[in-house]
Amino acid sequence: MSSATDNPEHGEAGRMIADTADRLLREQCSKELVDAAEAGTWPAALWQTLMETGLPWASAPERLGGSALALPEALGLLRLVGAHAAPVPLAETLVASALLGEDDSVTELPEGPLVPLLASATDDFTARLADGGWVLDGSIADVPFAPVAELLVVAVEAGDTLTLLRVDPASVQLQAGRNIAGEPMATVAFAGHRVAPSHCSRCVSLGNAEELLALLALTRALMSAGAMQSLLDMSVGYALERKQFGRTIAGFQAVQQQLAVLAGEAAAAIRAADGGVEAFAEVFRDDASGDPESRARRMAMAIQEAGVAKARTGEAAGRGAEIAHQVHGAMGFTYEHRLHQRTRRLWAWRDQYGTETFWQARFGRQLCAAGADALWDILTRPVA
Amino acid sequence: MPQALVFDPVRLPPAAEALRSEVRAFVADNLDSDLLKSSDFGSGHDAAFSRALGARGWIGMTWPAKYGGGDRSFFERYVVTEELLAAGAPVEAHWIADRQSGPVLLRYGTEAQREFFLPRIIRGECFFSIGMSEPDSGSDLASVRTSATRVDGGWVVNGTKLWTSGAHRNHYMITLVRTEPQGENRHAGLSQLIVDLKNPEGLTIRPIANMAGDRDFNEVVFEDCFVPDAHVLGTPGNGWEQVTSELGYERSGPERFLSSFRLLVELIRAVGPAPEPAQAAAIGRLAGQLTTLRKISISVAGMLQSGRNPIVEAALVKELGNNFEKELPEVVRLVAPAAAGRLFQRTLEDTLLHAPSFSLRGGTREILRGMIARGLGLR
Repeated sequence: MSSATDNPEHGEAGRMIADTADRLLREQCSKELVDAAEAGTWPAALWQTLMETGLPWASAPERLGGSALALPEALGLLRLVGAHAAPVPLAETLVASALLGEDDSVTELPEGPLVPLLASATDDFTARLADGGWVLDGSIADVPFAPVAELLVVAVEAGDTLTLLRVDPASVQLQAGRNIAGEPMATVAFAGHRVAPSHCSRCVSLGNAEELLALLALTRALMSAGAMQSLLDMSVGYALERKQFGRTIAGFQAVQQQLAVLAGEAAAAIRAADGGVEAFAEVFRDDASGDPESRARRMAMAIQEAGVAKARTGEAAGRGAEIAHQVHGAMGFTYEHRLHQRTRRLWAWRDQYGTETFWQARFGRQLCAAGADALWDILTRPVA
Repeated sequence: MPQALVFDPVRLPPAAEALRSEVRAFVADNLDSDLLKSSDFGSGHDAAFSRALGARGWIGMTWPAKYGGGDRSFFERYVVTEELLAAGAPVEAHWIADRQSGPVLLRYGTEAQREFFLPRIIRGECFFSIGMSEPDSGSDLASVRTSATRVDGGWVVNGTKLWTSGAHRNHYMITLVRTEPQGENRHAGLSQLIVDLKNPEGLTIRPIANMAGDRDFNEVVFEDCFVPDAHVLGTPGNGWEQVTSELGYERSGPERFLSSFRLLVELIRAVGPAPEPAQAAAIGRLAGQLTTLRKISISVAGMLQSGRNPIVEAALVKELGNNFEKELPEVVRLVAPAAAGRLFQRTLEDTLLHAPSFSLRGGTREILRGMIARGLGLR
């Protein structure tokens, strides 16, 4: 069976980090800690402990103090962020430290959170080359975790390369706010900010903004998958405890049927998210041949699978949150209950880095362009 | 999550992927391109097509070579079946024999039964029906009343089976009967008999038209119908265990989410290369749901391959898959272009007319959700 089984989470180093992080987040991400973070208190101690486990830098190279774990393998760990409602930019730092680490000239990074920025079509952001560096103008809206970043990493496209610009948050304007989950975000205005050539890194693994968007979307899919698992565990647990009409509500068929639907949505979310990881693993694996066509094929598949993962987890989030709240009744609607720390995150994450409709329409356009008789072939194409 | 609901990533091995192009070429050569295509496994009874598949070694693929089987993996069978369904090939004739009658014969049949039935099934010459439901026994299968009474050299069967697909065309029916009166344990005293549908003594098969106009399922009435001892399947009294052992095979395959697939194909054909935003989103949504279901279903194929009997996992595939194949026509019709064409319209109508059965056949949605709830530890 091992030849046919390929669980991206089963690497030895990845499993060790995952076990440690799971235990740690379980202990530290209390209801109170998450409440405080949502009220504006940066959980410095939690971040410090996470840095000690190596999780945020798991995929950064060893020269920067990272564990050099393949990025897709590390991404699998993001399910833990959702499972524990961890109020920290783990996904952001993981991705940014891995991509910046591909540039040998980067020899030092701050210990605090790194936050990637990617302008969308609706942002008035512009970037132009000047004297080997870049000049940034306009703004990028609603950047998750920008207010707590120690370093902003702005991704800009030029020709067929993606360049990562290191920007000190103190040197740009941040208009901070919070999303529905109480996670900090900010609109970042650049106002002609100049980035020196020494602060520009060519991204090696990713060649354009869409590839980075897909990777960031996949982080949300994984976090959502973890939160869906948590919703199911909490809802089953509650149904087995809560008594009405003289018995636990788990005994009622109406409740059983709803929880079965939730289990299906959780399973679909988890499997879809893992599918995105598997496809990205093919992009990041060592490619001795360096064949650009093979690379393009694998990347196209990775974007497709990440998009499916984002859309499917987003659908599951809406249905899953609805059922979990219904099963928890008024208890789950109170501020005291920790259920809403998961459901509000699911609602926030499904809107970040492309909604369901954004990714579905992208996939749909591709399928229409390929034509009806190519549909089945596309849907069954292996990731490698 | 309870261990029962973990779906490990499983990739189809290269040997299975290699079969894909062979099946596609076979379908291109053997399928009438003017035919209205349906990916519903119950939508095309074509004995000649089944024999041609048998000649290619694509029936009984996972069964031992000593009976003529392919000794192949569940993954290889998976690829062949999903390719045939997606193409809309007529697979109904051999479907039940290949999917569950054969595996049950392998597990519980006598050596003589295996040697007799399996090679015939494999050649695409011997088709099976399922004799479970009755007029008063649908989801409550343990309540079956068709009885078999011991006589010299065999059993005499009386009672009525209902919704028996293909009974008027198939050769045999594995029939669940009560061989002892129902006692406190409702699951005790049930047995499985292999009934020869071509033997007219004591057997009346009446077709029942369904709402789509098909004459595929039947009422099968037994009146003192004699079944010889040689056609008892497994151990008398052990019928419940034997019946439930089929469920992992029956519920997790691609036929549980591909029934409406041809309609998605025809939508894309009708829409053309430049879809409206709502059309693109609907197509991408359905396609993404399908690929996710397929991953889960392949994961269950991996469990079957490793010798597990994933009953709860299979129920979850069927639950999610049936919802998808029922929702598909509802999503498609709302974004279809005004003049979508005759082929599209016929495929839409055909899908809608069959959709009510998707979450009834092989276990109703409510029963499956109950099984999933049990897997979650709720009951």
